[in-house]
Amino acid sequence: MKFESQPQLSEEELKNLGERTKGDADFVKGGAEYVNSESGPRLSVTDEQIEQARMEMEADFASRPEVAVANSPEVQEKFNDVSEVERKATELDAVVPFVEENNPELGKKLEGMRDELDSEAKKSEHELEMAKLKAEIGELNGVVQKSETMSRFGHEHGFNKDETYAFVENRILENEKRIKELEQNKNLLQQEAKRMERYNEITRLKQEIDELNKIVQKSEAMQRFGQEHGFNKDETYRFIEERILENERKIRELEGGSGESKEKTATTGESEETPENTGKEEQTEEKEESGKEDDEEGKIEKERIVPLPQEAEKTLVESFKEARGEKSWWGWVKERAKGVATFGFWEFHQAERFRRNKKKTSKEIAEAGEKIRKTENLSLEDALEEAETMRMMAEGADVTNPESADYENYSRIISGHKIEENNKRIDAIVAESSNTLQERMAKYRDEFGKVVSADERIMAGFEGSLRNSLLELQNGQKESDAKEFNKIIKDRLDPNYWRRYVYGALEAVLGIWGSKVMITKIAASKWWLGKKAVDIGMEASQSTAEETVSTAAETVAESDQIPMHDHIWGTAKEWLNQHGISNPTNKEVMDLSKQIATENNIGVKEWGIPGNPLDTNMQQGHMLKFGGASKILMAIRIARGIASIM
Amino acid sequence: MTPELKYKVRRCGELLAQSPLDDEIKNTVIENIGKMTENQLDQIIHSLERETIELTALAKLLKNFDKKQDESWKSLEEKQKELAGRVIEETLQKAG
Repeated sequence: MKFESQPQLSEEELKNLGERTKGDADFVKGGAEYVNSESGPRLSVTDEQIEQARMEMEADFASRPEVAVANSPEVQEKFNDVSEVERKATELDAVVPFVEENNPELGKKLEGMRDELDSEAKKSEHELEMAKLKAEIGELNGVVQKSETMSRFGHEHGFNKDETYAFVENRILENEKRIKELEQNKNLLQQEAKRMERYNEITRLKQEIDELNKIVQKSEAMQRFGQEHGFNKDETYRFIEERILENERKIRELEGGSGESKEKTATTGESEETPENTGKEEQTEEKEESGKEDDEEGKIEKERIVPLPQEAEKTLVESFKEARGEKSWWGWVKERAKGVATFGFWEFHQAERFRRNKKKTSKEIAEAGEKIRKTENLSLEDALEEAETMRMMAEGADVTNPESADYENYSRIISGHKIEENNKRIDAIVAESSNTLQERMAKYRDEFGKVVSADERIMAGFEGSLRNSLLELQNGQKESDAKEFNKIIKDRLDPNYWRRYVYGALEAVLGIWGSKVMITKIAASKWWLGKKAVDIGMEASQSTAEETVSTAAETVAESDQIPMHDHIWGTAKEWLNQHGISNPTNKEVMDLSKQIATENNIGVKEWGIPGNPLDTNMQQGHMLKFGGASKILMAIRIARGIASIM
Repeated sequence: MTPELKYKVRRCGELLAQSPLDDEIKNTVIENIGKMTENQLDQIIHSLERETIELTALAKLLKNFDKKQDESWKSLEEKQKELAGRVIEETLQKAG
C-alpha cells in the first residue's frame, strides 16, 4: 500500500509505535531476523517465539470462569444449535415482508417456517440453559475442591471461608433446582408445540369459513359455485352451510371444549385462542394447584422487580474497575480475528502481544536504538495497512453475502502475504530445478551434438512451464482460503446476527432508557474493533482513496452510497448483476429501483413516488444510498431458489 | 444486599469490563444500575454471557482455521516440490 503523504498519528499512537519498535530488540535477541519483502523489511520471528506467545495468549484466554463455562463442549454444542435456528430466523425476518408483498403464497409459507423456527428456538434455548447451569455446577465444584481457588473466590466476593463454602453450596443447589424446573418445562414446551399446530389448523378453518360466508353474501359468486359443482341454488346453500358447521365443529374439537360459547368464538372471532393465552390459562391452573409455594415465589418475584439497592452501583463500579485492570481475554479473540483478515500480520500480532509481556532493560533499548528509525517506518506502514483492512471489515461492508465484491477484497487480503511467500518459494523451486536439470543433463547432447542444457531458450521454456504449473497449484490453494474465510464471516461475523442474537436482551434493557439506537449502531459496525482502529483506518483510506478503483457494486453496507450510472434503473440493474443476479427481470429491477428512489427521496412520476429531485432532472454520478438494497437482494435470491438457503 | 445479588452485580461488572462493547454502552449500564431491577440485571448478564459463548466459539473457529491454513500451505509446498521433481524427470526422459 502506498500513501500520498505521511499520515499524522496522535501522541498515544506514536507512543505505542515507539514501544513496539523498542520491543523488537527482544525478538532480535531471541533469534528473530529482518527479512526483505516487496513492501520493505519485515521482522520474522522464530517458531519458538510464536509458539510461546500463542501459549501465553491461550493461558490468558482460558483463565476466566465464564470462559470455562462457555468452553464446555456441551454448552458449545447446544449453543451451535441455538445459533443455527436464530440465524435462519434472522434471515427470514429480513425478507418475509418483501416476499409477502411480491409473492403472497411464498410469503405465507415463509411465515409458517418462521413459526416452526420460533418453537424450535425455544427448545434449543432451553437445552442451552441447562447445559450452562450444569457447566457452572462443574466450575463451582472445582472451586470447592481447590482451596486456593476457593480462597480467591471468597476474597473477590468479600466472604470468609465458611461464607464462601456456604455460598458455593447454595449456588450449586439453586442451579440443580433450576435444572429440574427446566426439565419439567420440557413437557410444557412439547405441549406448546402441539398447541401451535392446533392454532394453525384453527386459523385455516376460520379462513375457510370467512371465504364461504363471502360466497353466500355474493349471490352471483354462489350461483357460479353451484354451477361448478353441479348444484342447484338450494343444494349450494346447504353444502356451504354444512361445510361451515363442520369447520366449526372441528374448531371446537381442536379447542378441546364444547358448548355455545365456543361456537360463538369460532364464528365471531371474539377472544381467539392463541398459543400465548392458552399458555397463560395453563399457567394459571398450575398456580392454583401449587398454593403455598406460589405465595413464596410471588414474594421472590416481587423482590426481583423493585430497583436494586443503592450499594449495587458501588459494587458494580468496583468490580468493573477491578476487572478492567485485568488482561482482557477478549483481546485474544480480537487478535485471532485480525490474524484471519491479515495473514501477513499474524506473526506480527503475536509478536506484539508477546513483546508487551516482557520487561525491557535500558541496555537493550540502547542496543536497538540504531534500528528504531528503520523499524518505526516499517511499523507505521504496517499499522496503517492493517488499519485499512480493519476499517473495511469494521465499517460494515457486505460480509454476509458470499457473492459480494467485498468478499473478493477480503480474500485478496487473506491470501496476499502467503502468496508473496509462496511466490518466493516458487522462484526458489524453479531455480533449483533448473540447476538440477542442467547438472543432470550436462552429458546429454542432441543429434547435432549440442549440449541441450546450455541452450537458454530450452531452459527458459522449461522454467516457464514449470512456473505455470506451480502457480496453478497455488491458485487452488487461494480458492480454498477464500472459501474457508467466507464461511467464517458468514457463520460468525455477521453484525446483524450479533446485534439481534447476542445483544438482544441487553438491547431490550437499554431500550428502556432510550438507548436502543446506540447499541444498534455500535454492534453493527464497531463491536469487535473499537473506535480507534476505525479512526486510524479512516485516515489511511482518505490518503489512498484516489488509488482505489471502486465499482458501483462494491458495497451494500447501510451507510454506503454509489454514483448513478445513466439512470436509477440502469444502476440498479448493474448492481444486481454484480451481486450474482444474472439477467434480472424487469420486476426485480423495478423493485430495487423503487427502493432506491424512496430511500433517496427521488421523485418518479411514472411510479407515483414523490420526492425531490425528479428522476428526470438528476445529474450523472448523483450519489445514491443503497442501504435497503441488501434486503431486496436477499429476497430476490430467496424467491429464485428458496431451497438453497433453507 | 443478599450474597446472591452481590454475586450477580459483581459478575455483571466483570463481564461488562471484559466485553468488547463500546464504552458508551458500558457507561449507560453503569449509570442506570440504580434504576435497574434484578430481572433486568439478569437480562444484561444473559446477554454478556451470550457474547462470551459466541466469542469462545469464534476463537475456536479462528484457531482451527489458522491451523488448517498453515497445514495446507505446507502441503502445497510439498506438492509443488513433487511436481518440480516430476517435470525434471519427464524432461530428462524426453532428452534421453
